Amino acid sequence: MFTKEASWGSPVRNFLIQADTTYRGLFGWLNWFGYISNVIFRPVVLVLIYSVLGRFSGSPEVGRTYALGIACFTMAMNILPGIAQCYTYDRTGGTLSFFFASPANRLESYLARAVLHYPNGLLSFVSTMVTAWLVVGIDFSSVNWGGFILAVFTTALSIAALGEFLGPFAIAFRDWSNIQNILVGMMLVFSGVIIPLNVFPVPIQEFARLLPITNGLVSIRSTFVGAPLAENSGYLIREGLTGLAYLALGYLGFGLFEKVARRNGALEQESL
Amino acid sequence: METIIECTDVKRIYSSRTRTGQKRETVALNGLNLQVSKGTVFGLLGPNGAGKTTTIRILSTLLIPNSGKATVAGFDIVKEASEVRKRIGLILGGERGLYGRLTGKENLNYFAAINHMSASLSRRRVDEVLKMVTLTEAKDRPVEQYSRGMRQRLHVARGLLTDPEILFMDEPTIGLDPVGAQELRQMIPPMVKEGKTIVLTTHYMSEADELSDRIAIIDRGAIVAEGTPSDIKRKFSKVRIFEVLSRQSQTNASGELASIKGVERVIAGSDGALLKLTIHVIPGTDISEKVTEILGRANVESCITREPTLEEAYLSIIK
Repeated sequence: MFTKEASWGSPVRNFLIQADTTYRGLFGWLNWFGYISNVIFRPVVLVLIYSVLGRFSGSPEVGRTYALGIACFTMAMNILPGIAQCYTYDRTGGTLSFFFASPANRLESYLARAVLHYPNGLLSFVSTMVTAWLVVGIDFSSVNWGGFILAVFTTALSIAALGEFLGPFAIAFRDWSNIQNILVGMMLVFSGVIIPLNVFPVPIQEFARLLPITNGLVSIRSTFVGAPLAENSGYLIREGLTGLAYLALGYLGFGLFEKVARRNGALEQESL
Repeated sequence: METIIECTDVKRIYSSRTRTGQKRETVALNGLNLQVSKGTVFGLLGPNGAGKTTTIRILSTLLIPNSGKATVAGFDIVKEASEVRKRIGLILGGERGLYGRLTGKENLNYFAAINHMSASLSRRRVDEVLKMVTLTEAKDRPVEQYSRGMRQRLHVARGLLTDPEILFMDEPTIGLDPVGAQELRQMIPPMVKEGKTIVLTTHYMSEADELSDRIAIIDRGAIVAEGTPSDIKRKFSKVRIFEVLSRQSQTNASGELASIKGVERVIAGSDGALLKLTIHVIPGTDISEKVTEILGRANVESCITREPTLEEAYLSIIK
């Protein structure tokens, strides 16, 4: 056994290796076909459907609202399953056992699993917006770029945090990805992407405000039409806090589900 | 000798539910007691489902026992799991447990990182262990292109990466060809000489016999025999072996021999043109006269009594 002094590596280097390994080793869409179809093509198709639909309503405002909502939703469509795969494939591939049997820093590994999925979400947002501009003619002339970019980055972070919250469930529940897909679908309905929040009963509106996107989207939409960030900064702060809460809860879940897996033999059953 | 691994009355039950919602329980370990001395190879033998892998998983902190206590290097495997993890290496047999899309070297770099190894130490150790398992030339190929034997060798490399004090090897030679298996076996004595402790599960009796200082036979979640390989053969074996070489093969000879009082099993084989009969008998039984009578004195080329091999002893214990 090496002495601690001789072996202790740089946390940053170890973090980056873990981010790279969990991404390249476990992200199921990391091949040309999977990546282009899921990260680029699917969001483009989705935004075309909804933006064209919005255009037929006769109001350019509806088309813009849909385009921005769908652009946010496509971030969730890419980030959430991507992070989930880091957990499900780690478990089904048997590598998670070796991770749990190691003295790995759990927080480092927990955060590393999300890092490279974050830019994927941003990429799908960009490809969706470019499509909306080229095909539907969304007007970018009055965008408050600083506020808009900050709102998009914060919303993407909040979505990644939800991914980190949901992912560890896969450690203890074998069929978790199916349940997670339903949750992603629910976001389309409840987070104000297509359907305005105020059409729902108050309890559902309150629930919706606990989801990522719901608050951030208000800031994204307002800054897109040139409003100063301060106008809806409360929403953006709430979006950021929602993300932080999911991140913290997710980390607790990561530790909890490791214990659950050790107690109920979930990883053992996977290998049968 | 200092005890480095200890299990006291360890029980582990797996619970599951049937499709109709009924609870189903499988007892994997039923009061396991064992002690492993530092710097030795401890072989754990038993049929499939006996509890060998569960034992390894508990000792490597991957499973929590339902009751009982286990310590590794003096640390409780439940309460002080992180201390245990710093001191162990784990080699599980089979094809899972590696990142197929990454190269062998990238896999090892990752496991070095989660074990907090520094860049320079990681580089040195990755090169060393790859060389040890003769994968240096294949280090930059994706693991999904590796043969089964190569993957198993990479498992071994990963287990050795941190130069652990205690190494758990669960069927490490599974999938290896005879040369690869022999090479792996040859790696074990030098490691023991360095003071490492190895817990080895295997279905290959000759491997256990060759490598183990002590062997425990586990059946239905409990140890049914424990000692040195010689102890297992002499004290715990429930049979002695009569080996008979006969010139003439009689079609019903095996059946007749099996009906002799005290005979447990008759295995018929050939040794060139001769019929070779391996007869397992209850210790203290002398069947030489009856064997000669059945086969005919003129036909019997030789008739010797010998100690059982580990496999024969094992088969007599696990019925």
